[in-house]
Amino acid sequence: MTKNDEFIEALVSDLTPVRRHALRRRLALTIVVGVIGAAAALLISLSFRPHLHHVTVTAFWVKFLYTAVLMSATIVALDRVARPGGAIRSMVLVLVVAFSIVVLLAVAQLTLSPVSSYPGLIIGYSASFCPFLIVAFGIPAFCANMWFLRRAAPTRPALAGFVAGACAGGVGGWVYSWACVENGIPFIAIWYTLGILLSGVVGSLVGKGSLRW
Amino acid sequence: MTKSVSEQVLKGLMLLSLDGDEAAYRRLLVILRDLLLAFYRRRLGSNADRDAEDLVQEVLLAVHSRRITYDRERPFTAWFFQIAKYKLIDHFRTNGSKRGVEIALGDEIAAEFREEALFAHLDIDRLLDQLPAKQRELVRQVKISGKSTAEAAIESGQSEAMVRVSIHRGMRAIGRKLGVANDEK
Repeated sequence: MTKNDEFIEALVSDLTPVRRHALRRRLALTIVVGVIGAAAALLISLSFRPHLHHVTVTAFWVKFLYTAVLMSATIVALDRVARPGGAIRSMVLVLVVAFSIVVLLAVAQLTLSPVSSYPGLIIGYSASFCPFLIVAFGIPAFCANMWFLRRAAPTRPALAGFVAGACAGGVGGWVYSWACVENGIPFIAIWYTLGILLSGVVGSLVGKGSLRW
Repeated sequence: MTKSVSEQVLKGLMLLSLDGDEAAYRRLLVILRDLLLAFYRRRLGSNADRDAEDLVQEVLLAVHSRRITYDRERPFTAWFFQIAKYKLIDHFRTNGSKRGVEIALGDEIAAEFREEALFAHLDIDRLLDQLPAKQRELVRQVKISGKSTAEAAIESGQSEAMVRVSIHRGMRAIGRKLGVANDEK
């Protein structure tokens, strides 16, 4: 027996069956952990701030759906980059379309509103901290995503890290939207998107160093 | 054509392995080892045999520990060569060979053809050699060169039905060698 044969025998004796869709099951678990973490962060943050302002139905649903779409597309992208050679072009397209729709809605809202309301619609009460809270809410999800990727086989560490971060930002933003007090669609288009992008950039920097295998 | 035969065989072995079939897994790893040794020796030069062997072990280990990332609906060879390429680039990077990294990255363009060429000269030849000469020639003409059974029949002077049976038997024998054929005789 050569050294190589022994090596192969060692691998064979370590063989355990892999269930169908095992990676996707693991990803589902990862996302559930991230959402629970973000929800916990939301509950904690609610105790620190005055109670809910009035939020219009439209603004609530735009936030809720926009972040849900970003989150879903980045979850699919995460499944792709976790595999060797995974490409995410089609998911990038989904993200760009979703962003464009929200920008169009934002422009429509601005044209229908008096100029005096612009600061409220664009900056609101929370522009200075909204993106950072989205990143913060996404921290548990980011840890879970990195745990997931480190056990997978991403061949482009920086891209995989970016997707892990953006997905965490998507989870954080989605949960954040449940209790966000802003009514401006321009606000959503700018600050939500920035929060998620910021999360992605941080993820990319972390991934570059820690997702090699 | 060649590639699809190898793809089918390797994918079949991989699917069995994922279900926990140790014999199939052993065959798969042995075939992959041979493929990898040729793949890396060609890229590292002949005086880097030890590097090639280290890389082979690393890739086999990665195939083993990250087999969960293989999607059963997709081609096995594509998944496998992405891992082999990733490890090669990683090897060049740690050795500070910028030129090597560039060449390895450029592999993408020609990868399809090289995989095909590689398979044609490795397991397929070895498997074919174990068939009787007549059968081997027919399998080679029809399954690899892509001739029709009618053409092969005319050339060999046999009836088309006979050619079909012969090829079928040859393919079954190859399948048995690789442990993927059902022996339902």
